[in-house]
Amino acid sequence: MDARRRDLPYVAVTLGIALLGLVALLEIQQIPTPTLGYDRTGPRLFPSLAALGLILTGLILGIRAWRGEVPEPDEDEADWARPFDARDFIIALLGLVAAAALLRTTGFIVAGTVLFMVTATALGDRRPLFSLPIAVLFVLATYLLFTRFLGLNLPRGIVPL
Amino acid sequence: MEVLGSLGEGFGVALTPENLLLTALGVTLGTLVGVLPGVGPALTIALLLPVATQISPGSAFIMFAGILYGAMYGGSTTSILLNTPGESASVITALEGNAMARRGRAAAALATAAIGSFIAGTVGTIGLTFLAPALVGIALAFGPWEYFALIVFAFAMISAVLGKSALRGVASLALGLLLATIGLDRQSGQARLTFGSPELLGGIHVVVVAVGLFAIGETLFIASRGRRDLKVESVIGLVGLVWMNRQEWARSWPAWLRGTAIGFPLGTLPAGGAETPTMVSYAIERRLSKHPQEFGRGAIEGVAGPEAANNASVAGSLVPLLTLGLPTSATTAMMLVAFQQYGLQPGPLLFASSPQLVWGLIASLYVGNTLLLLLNLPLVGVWAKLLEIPRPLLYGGILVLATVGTYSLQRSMVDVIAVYVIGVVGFLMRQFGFPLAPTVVGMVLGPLLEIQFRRAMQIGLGDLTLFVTRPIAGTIIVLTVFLVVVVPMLRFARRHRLAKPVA
Repeated sequence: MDARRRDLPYVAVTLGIALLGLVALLEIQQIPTPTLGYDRTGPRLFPSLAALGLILTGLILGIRAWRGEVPEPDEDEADWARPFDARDFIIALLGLVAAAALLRTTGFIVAGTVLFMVTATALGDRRPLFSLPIAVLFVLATYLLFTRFLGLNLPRGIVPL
Repeated sequence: MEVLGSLGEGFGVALTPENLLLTALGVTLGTLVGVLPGVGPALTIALLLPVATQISPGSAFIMFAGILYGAMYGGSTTSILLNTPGESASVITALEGNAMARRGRAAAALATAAIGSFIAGTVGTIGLTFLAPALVGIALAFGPWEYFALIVFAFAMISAVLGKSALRGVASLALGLLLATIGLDRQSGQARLTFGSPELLGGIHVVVVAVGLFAIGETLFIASRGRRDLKVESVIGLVGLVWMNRQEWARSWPAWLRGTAIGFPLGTLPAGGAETPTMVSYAIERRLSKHPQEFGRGAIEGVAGPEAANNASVAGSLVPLLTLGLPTSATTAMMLVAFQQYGLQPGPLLFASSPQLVWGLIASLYVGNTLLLLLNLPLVGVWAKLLEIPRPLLYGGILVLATVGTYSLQRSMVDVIAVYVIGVVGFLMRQFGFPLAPTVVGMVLGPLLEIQFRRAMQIGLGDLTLFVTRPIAGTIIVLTVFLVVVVPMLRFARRHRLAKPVA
């Protein structure tokens, strides 16, 4: 394996980190700084340090990655050996988008069931007819547990429960 | 013997029927999340926070402590029977444990893990019982300078010293620190990093970040790894009950004790959770073993040592949490958030103001450990059955619970959207090898660091030198600098020495 190959997605992510720090640093300039008291620090210091941390680490990692030095991941290699599967990732992502949209309109039970089923599909569920009743029961049980026994409110939506 | 009196009162609290029930619930939940891959104790506590407001703080912490220990027990089951660790602290167990299982010694591996966990958990709890009050005495003398130095030390350990890439650790930490500053500044009342959005004035809740990173990010990551391997990998069945034989006992008990001796002190340090002690214990067992040829093929010491180490380190990690309010792992960070939610600040004063809570919690650890041994030895077959839950359904369920938990936190749709967005960030972090724990710990400790720093500056009339001239604070700062500067240099030197022959 050629470890010296330039990993462009990794370069992009590191530059994204630096950019995030930069955006934050600009926004920090909006904070008014009262210069009162012995506390010479004010509300800008800590966010600025954090933003600088992101900018510096992002830039250094980015330059290294550009040169082809990507340090090995901390995680167990088993996960990494498998290739990235864009299709399943996008399905899982769509599940989140759908859940966020449905939660407000149709309520938790519908949104939760959709989220459950779409996620299961993204993870390779091949028996939707077997999974659907499980999803419905699971979501119903969660809903009842939270609303009836724990006294927490969940968006009810269109299901009259 | 004041300690024993306090502990006795603690047992009075822990043994009430309600709290016994909560301990049982906690250890069961903990074992469950330990067994199931994809859910860990940090995520579980995060999801339970909204629920926990319904019960008294003392009882909630008794339940959380049960989850902490239970997860360590449960994680070993998955490692041994499935070779896919249920918990990061059980990764090492999978090496030898699964090899033992494949040789038909699954029951022996499970037994040595459970008994070792019990011994280490109990000895560790005894350590906590006596060390905590002693530390409280010292901690009372701590001013903001010392707390500042301690938090900086914890940050250095968690982000830069441990892990393969210091830079990625620091980036992860900086992200957490930045997220923590969003919202109204507690000292000046100024809005920070809200980008003009009123929704962000209240800040981003730590639970939203933790659930996003650990639950949503993890699910997206698993989904993105393709479908081939997602069939439940061969779960090794438990054929009958083949108990440990005499030789396995003889080889286990020294490993248990060594694992305990390694795990507890390492747990008290801000060393980033229970993983490091298991690795150290494994390396030592391998070196000391009279059967080194068995390592990699199912050496029982390689299960006994690390499993003892992870439980002992859990007990150890409660020492700085309770006495200093300093979490050393993502899980204890979530426990600190729980304390804050109740308006409690762990630290020396907590021992004085809420002795019932603290000692009830400590006493419940003894109870929980005993329950776990009883729960795990005979019922391990039941837990093993959980491994047959199809992954798609498991992760579907995790996302539903993540959504419910996040929404009920503040009944906010914005939080739900935020948790999904942070989930995508968490996916990117995992995809590109950035550690997640520093973000969570940074988010929890960041505000404390800032408060302590500004308090120190106000009390010290803006004198920065106090951070190094006060003896305890100065020592910790020097130690931190040493770790951050010297350790990477050694690492660099070693890399170059290793690289030379290749080039």
